Amino acid sequence: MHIPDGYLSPQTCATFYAASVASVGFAFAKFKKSVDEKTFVHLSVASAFTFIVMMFNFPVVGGSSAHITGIPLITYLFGPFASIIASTVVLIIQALLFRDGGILALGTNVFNMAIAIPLVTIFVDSLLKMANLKNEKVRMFISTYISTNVAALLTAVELGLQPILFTKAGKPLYFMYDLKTTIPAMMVPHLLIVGVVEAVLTVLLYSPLKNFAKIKKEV
Amino acid sequence: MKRGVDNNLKVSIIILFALAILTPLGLLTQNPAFGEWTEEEIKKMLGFVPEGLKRYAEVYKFDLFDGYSVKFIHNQYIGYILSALIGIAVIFAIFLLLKHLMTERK
Repeated sequence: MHIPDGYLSPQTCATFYAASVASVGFAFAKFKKSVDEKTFVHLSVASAFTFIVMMFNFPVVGGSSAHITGIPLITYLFGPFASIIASTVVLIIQALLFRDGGILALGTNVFNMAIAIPLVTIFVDSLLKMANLKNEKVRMFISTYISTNVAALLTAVELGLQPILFTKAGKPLYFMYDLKTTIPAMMVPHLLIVGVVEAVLTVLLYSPLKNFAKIKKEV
Repeated sequence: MKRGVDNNLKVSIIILFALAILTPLGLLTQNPAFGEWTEEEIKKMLGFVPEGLKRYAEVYKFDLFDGYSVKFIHNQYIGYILSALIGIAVIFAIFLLLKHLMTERK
């Protein structure tokens, strides 16, 4: 899900940089208000956990590989704003140090993972709460499953639009496969495998970790 | 209560480092992730590398830890574990810095 440089047009990169900078800025302002010294210690462990979890690639259908992010779990433990900050830090390090995801594409990758996953997780969870779904674990499973797949769908659409929008003499300028390819290629593994693994991990780890994260949660 | 929280923190850090040692499991699959191919892989797939892709692919050149390897270490498993530890260290450093900057201002 980490888009490398060259895959997206400069226009796409600029658009998502703008969206991400605005969103992370907003999250940071919210985060600042609720933060105390203890939060930083716990959040740094959570952030490191996200980083490590993303190193466990596993094979998925269609001859490709994928990894989970741990971001929905952090969102449940620390709230959406702290989760946005923690995962943005991880994505910046992945891009700068390990070249996992591009520098020009960083705004897009932050948008897809660090912003979309926490916000969709919390949004779906509150919808389910409003729909009177009382079982917290079921809500967690569904919210995590959906947010993971939304991130995959965003990635698929951003990549798949490139050859439709940006060509030169009939040849793609940037990413080469259009939506007909990117959507099934991203969604089948995420719907069948990655979303389920991520959701199971969130449900299983939330209870044992929730005492650890006993900090003032925003929202 | 306070003590319990601190113990949990200790356990969490131990688990974190245990996971870091286990990261080479993530190398067992040789499949590339969809949409994360190198230029050579793209060339093999398409027969050419799109012009714009070629132009922007290499704008960032720092490659000491490219792809969670370490340039001078030829064992990919050791490189991967070292990358995991470096990543953890840098993340801790960033949060320490943030903490310093943000709590001082208060």
